[in-house]
Amino acid sequence: MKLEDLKKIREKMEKSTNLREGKGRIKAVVGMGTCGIAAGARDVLSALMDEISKRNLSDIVVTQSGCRGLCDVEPIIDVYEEGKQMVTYGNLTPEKTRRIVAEHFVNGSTVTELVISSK
Amino acid sequence: MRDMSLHILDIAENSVRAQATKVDILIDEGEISSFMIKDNGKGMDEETLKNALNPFYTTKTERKKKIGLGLPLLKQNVELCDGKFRIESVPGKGTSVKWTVNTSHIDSLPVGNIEETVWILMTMYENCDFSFTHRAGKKEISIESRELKEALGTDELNDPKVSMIVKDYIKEQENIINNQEAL
Ligand SMILES: Nc1ncnc2c1ncn2[C@@H]1O[C@H](COP(=O)(O)OP(=O)(O)O)[C@@H](O)[C@H]1O
Ligand SMILES: [Mg+2]
Repeated sequence: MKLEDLKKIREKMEKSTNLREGKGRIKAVVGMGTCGIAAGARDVLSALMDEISKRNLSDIVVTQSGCRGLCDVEPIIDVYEEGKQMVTYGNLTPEKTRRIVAEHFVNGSTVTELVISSK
Repeated sequence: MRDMSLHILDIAENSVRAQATKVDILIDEGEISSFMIKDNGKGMDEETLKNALNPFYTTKTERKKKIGLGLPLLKQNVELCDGKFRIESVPGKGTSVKWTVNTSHIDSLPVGNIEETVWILMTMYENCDFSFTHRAGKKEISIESRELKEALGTDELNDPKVSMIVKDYIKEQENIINNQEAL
């Protein structure tokens, strides 16, 4: 990689605000096994990151996991929130994912019709 | 899978699950395009390797349905377009998966949105570093996640803001490859 490119990247980083703090209030895990990827998990993960960064949310941690064996309802996102049940959203699309960010992560209400299980 | 970029994401995911700390991805585009994914993960013994190409084999036990489809799917797609598929593995050393496709074959899969795949790999898999090299004709780009982490001063590239900086950079680099014909 070119030194000037790395310099530019460093400068962008110095200017960025609202970086994530601590462990996060919410952890969202996208299933990225074969079935998930084939069903569109990459676009879901991409929409999730895009929406969170656009809204400047700095208390959400996004990660991925391998196949969870829920192949027929992929793409899925597991949402962990302190003091609450884990919620699994399934059959997702980028649009539905953006709704989860707005309604669940920002407004605090689970998007019931997209939930496939909770425990 | 719809294209090679999705296969690459899937095959690299195997590397990460096999505890790789470094994965090298190479794409060399031409009439015959070649692809390589090489990792330093735990590798496979002969028995596992043989079974890995069988669609109903997986060593992953956490799931209900015991099927592993990633490698057999790729092999099938490669062979459909007169390509060659090869996997080599040494226990304790790592695994490399290589394949070629004849791009003029009607069934050959396009490369697809490779910048999206590289971005997700580099920013969402915290304990693994990736290098990505993409050649097409006389153009070549090369991206190292380790160098990005050093420039950004953090290993946590999955921070949404940081991740987007990486995404923009990968896109910029991929544009160098894609604007090839216009130049
Ligand atoms: N890079 C790798 N390193 C070590 N083992 C691997 C690698 N790739 C595949 N395997 C083995 O082959 C099996 C089948 O892989 P795959 O077809 O992708 O299905 P799955 O990942 O769903 O199990 C894996 O479960 C694993 O045991
Ligand atoms: Mg796999």
